[in-house]
Amino acid sequence: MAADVVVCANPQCKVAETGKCLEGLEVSQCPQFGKTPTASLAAEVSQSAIPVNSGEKLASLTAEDVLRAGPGKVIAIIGPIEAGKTTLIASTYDLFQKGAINKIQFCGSRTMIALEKACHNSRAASLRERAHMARTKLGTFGYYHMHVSQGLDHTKTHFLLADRAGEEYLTAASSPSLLRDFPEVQRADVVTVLLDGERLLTQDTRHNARAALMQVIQALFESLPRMGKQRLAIVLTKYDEILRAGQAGELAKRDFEAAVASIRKSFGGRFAGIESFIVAASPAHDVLAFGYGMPELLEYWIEDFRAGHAELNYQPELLRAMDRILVE
Amino acid sequence: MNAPSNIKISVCGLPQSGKTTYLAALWHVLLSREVETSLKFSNLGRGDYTHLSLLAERWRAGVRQKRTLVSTDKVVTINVSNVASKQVALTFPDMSGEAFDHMWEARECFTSAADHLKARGATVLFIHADTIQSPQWVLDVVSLSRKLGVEVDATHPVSWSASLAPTQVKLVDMLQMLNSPPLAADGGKLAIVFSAWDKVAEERLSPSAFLATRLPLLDQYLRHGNHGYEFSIWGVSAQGGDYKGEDEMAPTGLEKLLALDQPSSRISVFGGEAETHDITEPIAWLVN
Repeated sequence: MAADVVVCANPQCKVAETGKCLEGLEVSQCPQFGKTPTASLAAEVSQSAIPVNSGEKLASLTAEDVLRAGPGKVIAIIGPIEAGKTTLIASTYDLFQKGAINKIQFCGSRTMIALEKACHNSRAASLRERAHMARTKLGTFGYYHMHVSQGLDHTKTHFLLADRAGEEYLTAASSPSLLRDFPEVQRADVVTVLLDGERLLTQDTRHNARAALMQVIQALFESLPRMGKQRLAIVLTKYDEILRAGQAGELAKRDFEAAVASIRKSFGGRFAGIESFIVAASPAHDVLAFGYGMPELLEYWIEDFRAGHAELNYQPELLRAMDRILVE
Repeated sequence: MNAPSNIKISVCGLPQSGKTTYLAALWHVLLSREVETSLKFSNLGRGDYTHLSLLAERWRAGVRQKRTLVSTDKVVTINVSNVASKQVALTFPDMSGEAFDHMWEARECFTSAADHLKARGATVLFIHADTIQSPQWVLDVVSLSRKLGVEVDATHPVSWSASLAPTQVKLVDMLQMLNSPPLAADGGKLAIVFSAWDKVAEERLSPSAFLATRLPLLDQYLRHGNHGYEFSIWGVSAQGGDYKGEDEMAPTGLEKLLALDQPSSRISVFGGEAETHDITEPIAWLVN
């Protein structure tokens, strides 16, 4: 037998899904609760409404509008599956919930719903025992937006933090031409590449993790269009796991330092700057505070306000070549 | 006599943030003339004051206001004169907090509310000082629970819902929506009113310091965002203490409040340097 369906005469009321009366009443007190939403009754009790900003991640064209509105930075965050890409973004936003981050102030965001969703599983309201970040699904690429202010003159910057599924970067690392199709990588002011600290802790994943990092940097080296204009951040994530791992953790730190040194040596001239960071954006263990290492990374992301206004709707070379043929 | 200038004031806030209680107390204070106020009552004119009279009646009797329903938004107009004796007609839509909740959760604004908001010349944002939902993190809560030897029950994780967002997130987004199409109006002044100020008075913070301490995201947004608002902050206790619901026993302290000779003296307003009973202060700042 089908369960009783909870209904309300007001089609705008989502009490069936959320248990919350649109009028904020106890359902027993709501005159519309329990009534079937017929057309005539619905017309009587519901109100017309107009849409407001969705608050979701921005598509590339909307992100371009944001960059046109004022100085902006595009941050591409590249890393394998579950390395903590979305966690970096969510943690930055959540640190602003507590106040300014090293004198960088939050000025607003057009993607507050998306940011709230990203933060949920590290918030107590999720009723979890351990912070957890949902994986970015394939085909859901978009930009998180934060507007921030910094310095005595309160210089404002629009931050666009790209969020793409790890699988897509994994594929692109093996085929640099694919990276040329990623607008956020081509336009990025700072390309941020992650090394999953947890994967450095076990012998069967350690060497592959380092090799994957080097392969991504190599792919970037071959695909970035703006020679010497983009900066690189190499980030060791999940540092709380490394701290708890004793000798394996020490080895992991040495591996990271060696990888950074190798990248500097091989690719130093290719980037406007290379910096390394160690973070525990949303620690699973209380050996480190929430957002450990993030203020330093945020400062690196934000420094140098001379960002240009390059287009985000980057056209892959193949398309441009075809355009040229058509024009000719 | 010159016609009064008409100023449309949008009274915004999440559900149960004290919007209607404020209007009730404002109406009583203006009409009773019991205490010195920045704005003075001018005249009734041809308005219909049934709604305001009912609100003020409950307020005087120490009975909590009924929830304002989305479907029964009322618009009230109050004729006052300001400190320069200029006649001003203040128009307030008594909007339901659920209409603002709906904007955050459903990402749409009821047309009736949108019409009021687009036409506003000034804005009052109400925040209940004692029901602020601050963000908390799994790491902190689990760590504290373990230190206290309390078992953490994580057997039923909760999926994301917009309603779970911290108060400051909802308020920042509300102000952003009010500043963006299709609801954008010409900047103007924004009065931030912390209601139920008596509940947090023990913290001995100024309203401005309270904002920075308890709602740091909103504080950053107001001080640094490109919103165009000129803003000021007040702490207001419009009741002086707890009122009772219908058919409820009177809470402690209500008898003392009701015994005051002048109901207006139940009110406390903290804005500038001194505490006053002048509940018109935030509105006077908006219109002066």
